[in-house]
Amino acid sequence: MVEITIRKRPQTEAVITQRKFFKKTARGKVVKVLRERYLRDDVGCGIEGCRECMASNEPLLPAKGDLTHQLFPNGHYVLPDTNVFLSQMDLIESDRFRSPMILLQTVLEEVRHRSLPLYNRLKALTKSEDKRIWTFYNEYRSETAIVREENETPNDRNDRGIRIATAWYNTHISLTRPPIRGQTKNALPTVVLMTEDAANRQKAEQAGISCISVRKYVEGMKDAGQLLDLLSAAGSDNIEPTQASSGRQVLYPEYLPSATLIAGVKAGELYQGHFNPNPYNYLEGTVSVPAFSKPILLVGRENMNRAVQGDIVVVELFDEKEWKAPTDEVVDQEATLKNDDAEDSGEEGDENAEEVIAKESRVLRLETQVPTSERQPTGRVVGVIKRNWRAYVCHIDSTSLTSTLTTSLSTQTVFATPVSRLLPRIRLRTRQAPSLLNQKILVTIDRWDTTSRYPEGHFVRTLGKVESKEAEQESLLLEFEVPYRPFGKAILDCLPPEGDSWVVPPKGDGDVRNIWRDREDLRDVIVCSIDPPGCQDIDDALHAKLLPNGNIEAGVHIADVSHFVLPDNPMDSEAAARGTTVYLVDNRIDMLPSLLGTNLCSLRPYVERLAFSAIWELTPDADIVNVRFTKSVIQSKAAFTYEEAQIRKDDPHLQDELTNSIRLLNSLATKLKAKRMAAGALNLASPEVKIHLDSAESSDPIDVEQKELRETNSLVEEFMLLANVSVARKIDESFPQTAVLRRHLPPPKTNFEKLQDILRKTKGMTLDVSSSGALAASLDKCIDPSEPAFNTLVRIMATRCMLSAEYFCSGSVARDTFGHYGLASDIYTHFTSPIRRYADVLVHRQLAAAIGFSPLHASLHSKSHVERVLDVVNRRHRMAQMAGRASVEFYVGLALKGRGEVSKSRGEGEVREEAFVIRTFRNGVGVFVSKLGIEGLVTFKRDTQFDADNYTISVPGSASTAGSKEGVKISVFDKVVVQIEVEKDKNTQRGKVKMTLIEPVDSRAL
Amino acid sequence: MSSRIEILNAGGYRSDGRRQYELRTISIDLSPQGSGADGSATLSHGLTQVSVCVFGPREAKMRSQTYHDRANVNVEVGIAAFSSSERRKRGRGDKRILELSQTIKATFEPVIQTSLYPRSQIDIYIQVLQQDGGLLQACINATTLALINAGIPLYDFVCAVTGGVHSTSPLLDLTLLEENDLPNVTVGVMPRTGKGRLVK
Repeated sequence: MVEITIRKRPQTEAVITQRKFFKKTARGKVVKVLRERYLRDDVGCGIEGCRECMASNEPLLPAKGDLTHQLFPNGHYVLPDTNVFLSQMDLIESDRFRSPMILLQTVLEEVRHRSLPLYNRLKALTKSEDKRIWTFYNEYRSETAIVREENETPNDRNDRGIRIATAWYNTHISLTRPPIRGQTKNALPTVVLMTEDAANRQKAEQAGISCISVRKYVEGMKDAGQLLDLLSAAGSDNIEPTQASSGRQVLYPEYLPSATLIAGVKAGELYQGHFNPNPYNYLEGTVSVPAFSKPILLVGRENMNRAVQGDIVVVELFDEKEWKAPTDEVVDQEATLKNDDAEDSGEEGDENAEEVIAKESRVLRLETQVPTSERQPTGRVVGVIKRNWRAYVCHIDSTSLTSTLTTSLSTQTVFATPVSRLLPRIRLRTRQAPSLLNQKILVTIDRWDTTSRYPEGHFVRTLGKVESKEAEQESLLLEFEVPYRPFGKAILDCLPPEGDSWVVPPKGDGDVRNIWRDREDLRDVIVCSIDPPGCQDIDDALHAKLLPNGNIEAGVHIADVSHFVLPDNPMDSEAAARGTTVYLVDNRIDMLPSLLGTNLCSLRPYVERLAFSAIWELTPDADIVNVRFTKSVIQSKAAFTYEEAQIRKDDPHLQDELTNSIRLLNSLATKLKAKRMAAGALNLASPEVKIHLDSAESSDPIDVEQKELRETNSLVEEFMLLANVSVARKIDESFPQTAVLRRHLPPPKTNFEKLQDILRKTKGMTLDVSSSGALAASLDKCIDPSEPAFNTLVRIMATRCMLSAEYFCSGSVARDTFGHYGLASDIYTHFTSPIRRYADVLVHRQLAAAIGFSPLHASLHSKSHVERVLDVVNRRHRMAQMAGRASVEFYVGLALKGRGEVSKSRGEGEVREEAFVIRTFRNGVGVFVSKLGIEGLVTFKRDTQFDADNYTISVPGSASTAGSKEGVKISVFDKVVVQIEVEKDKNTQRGKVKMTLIEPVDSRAL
Repeated sequence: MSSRIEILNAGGYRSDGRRQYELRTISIDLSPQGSGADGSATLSHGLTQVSVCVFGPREAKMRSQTYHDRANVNVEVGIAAFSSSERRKRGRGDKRILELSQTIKATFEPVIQTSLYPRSQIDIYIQVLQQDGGLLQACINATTLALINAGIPLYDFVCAVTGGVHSTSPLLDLTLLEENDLPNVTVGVMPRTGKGRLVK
């Protein structure tokens, strides 16, 4: 049975036992709140051997106090006030700060009100073993409880409470240890009030309480030297914290009325564009506008003015004098704002907000001195034309929770941190916060008021546990807005009614549906397909044969998707909306129902399939003599993987027709490629890796390796390019206004400036970017004999300077901008993958009309319609690429984790890989691990010398390499060794790859 | 700001300075209250205060509501508009009040020796003066006292208290603040027979 002790005061002292205050509700009503407080005499003082207070199980403070401090030879205890914890938490957390401390309830509660994260840190401290902290519940002890007097601010009341508690402690100590007769009077330890508030100190001195400022206290300590460094500067002057500010503080300027915005944009005074935040620095964003070659820079929270990634914003430009260059620093929102509080931001003029602002302005001030050449247009957001808010995948920030108990039913205001680094934290009110921890959840933004630092949102649903594959996959799809719901009935009804058993009907009388009309019978041609292993949606097949005249006939056969997907039916609109098939590591989100994609359209071997063929007559030197396009029926003779085809080609014993045609194709492809390169096509590189999955079911990744490229890859690629170019010419000829084409604009020269500069300064190499041919040539020269991977690295970096290719409608842009920069072709389109790309389906329809096979659907005659469709397709295409990459990244992370565990169990330590520095920041370096195809960021905490002009950063040598005082210089392109770990982000539970430098400097200590 | 208050802090104190199993101050006033009630009691648990008047057994006003073999127990609850922090008038038909009076009626009907007074009526009028959690427990306790005060024969008396769970630690006699945050239950027991009378 529980022992129940009740020691309460008689009701006569009701004034002390009741607390009365007025509260303003959300609706503006003022409500009187009355709460009881029971005062007691059994609240322990926490000092060892105290004969008055009951022993407790918790560790007590030593009876003698701390004897090491100079000023208090008789021993002492520290009793800090609230501000000490608010501003000097680092000091208190230090291992060297070991004075026995009395933490008052008043102080604890004030800290809790001010900043939950700080409170949590303090809470953790009181529980840690090496700190001696006793929490004294002074508000519940009858002698120390006080009531707020009239005209007393809450702050003054708390200060008074703290003073009274200090005085009580001192008398308590002297009372409980009366001098014993016959012995010399024992020197008693004192309880010292530690406060930064001079007025408070004065009052304390008047009352005879010993008190001291933090600085003075630390100066008298044993390890004063090291501890003084930890004192934060703000502590000395910024004292009085609670300004009872009137109402909510306006943090952001209001938007201009929309009429003004539209007028301004039309008049050219304001600029409109998509808002694009900087992933490395949450205080910076850009808006690309056609009027400037460089995007407009937005620096600081106020200038970004509540814009969220993807919003269409209107920007006002600053005076040219105020233009800035982007920062070189990595500013992490989580690190900077970790003490920010979900509930009160904006609610009160809290000093926490000022701290944040001070911190942010410090960050922003750093970048003032930059040469004018690097400056770019700078401005501020004055309005938002269209919000692009959607549901974001988030995690609940665990430190923003007031209570982590699942039994708690109260509403809490918490932060949700989006998975994407481009988004701000979202404030959220929920009743189920504790149960949402460690879950991926979907959150939408509802509004963002001028008075609120963060946008406000609401919880939509949970996706599942963090790091579970299902949740991660769904979150990826949502994050990149990939429509992944199953196909509806209306769509499935558009499929051939025969389903699986659909076959090409026999030629002649059996052909009731007239499928053979105008189709060429190519069933006897030796056609084969070459694809990656495990490919189910085979959309292309090839053939080649020698013609009697010495020329070669080569054919590319593409699945005839447009035969099944008719314009303007539900399946067509769904495919147009999906735009493309999305390939994730262990999943594929189809654009078309799988009956078509993997069966009826797929050019599987040994079955008759409908195809759209492009057949060339080529000279042995791969010059085109003529080309014709036709719908056809083919029967593929074999489906090879790249590897199989390669082996077959290289095996001299095989002399069958199929192998010979592969050889023929290959010889043509080499010539075609040489021609293309001569014309100035770029050989670009992108980091591509392949994930080995354990088995189809568990899909646990076991290893990562770089994708191998074989000759046959290039074979297929060349013929696809050839087909695309030929088709592009044909449809452009027939439909000059509405042909669906693809272009790659030449990148603006300025994009390359930085890379050119880096190359010149670090390697003495030049990059000629005057044309794609010149660039290709100079890229070939960027070779570091000692480092074979260097060339690939430069190529990757050059690729990143370029624009991305896009689909367009031939009638909507000028003819001279049709060119494809990367391929050095004057015209290009996508024709070869209609199963997985919607643009190809459109091209098929146009080509079919161009050869007179079928009339063109009316919608494809309308320029605006084509433009609209292509806009969607372009966006989907981009998103699909990003989703695919993110999926690879996730699996690389999983694989790394697995590998790390394996090597740890073998006692080999962590995963280490070679990496190249690709970017230097003021406080870190960006590295690229080519073997894993991942990029990482290594940041240094300690001071580094950053030389922006030469792209080098000097890191002071660590303890092990002492002697080299200068430190080690790291510049772009340097090879380093990094240690790779996957660690969970403490707040967001987001698995994040953490890299630390091992060579040339060990940054673990930094 | 209410969410910023810890229900049970690390030192084992609740927000009002009590420990887990401590009850709030109980004060009882049994002095007769105007209008000639046969028994009355004003009871407060901390800041929750209710006043109960018992009339009867007396002749039923409406014959239709009488039983030939026992007395009819009629419970009416009124909640003063000023009783909670936000001023709010509740009508008689308010579902919450009806539920409360139903619960109290169901609690006391079997306890009162109704068969001694056939065809009569016992009226229990409960007036809630202040609310700070534990309303039901206060109503039940006050009703017991008022019934005793009125001299109505009971088989046993009913005592009630609210209990809640904060994580794994049980708390007794919850305040409004705690009640809003914790899953809670009111238990009525009859100490003489040791039987439970109500779990709500």
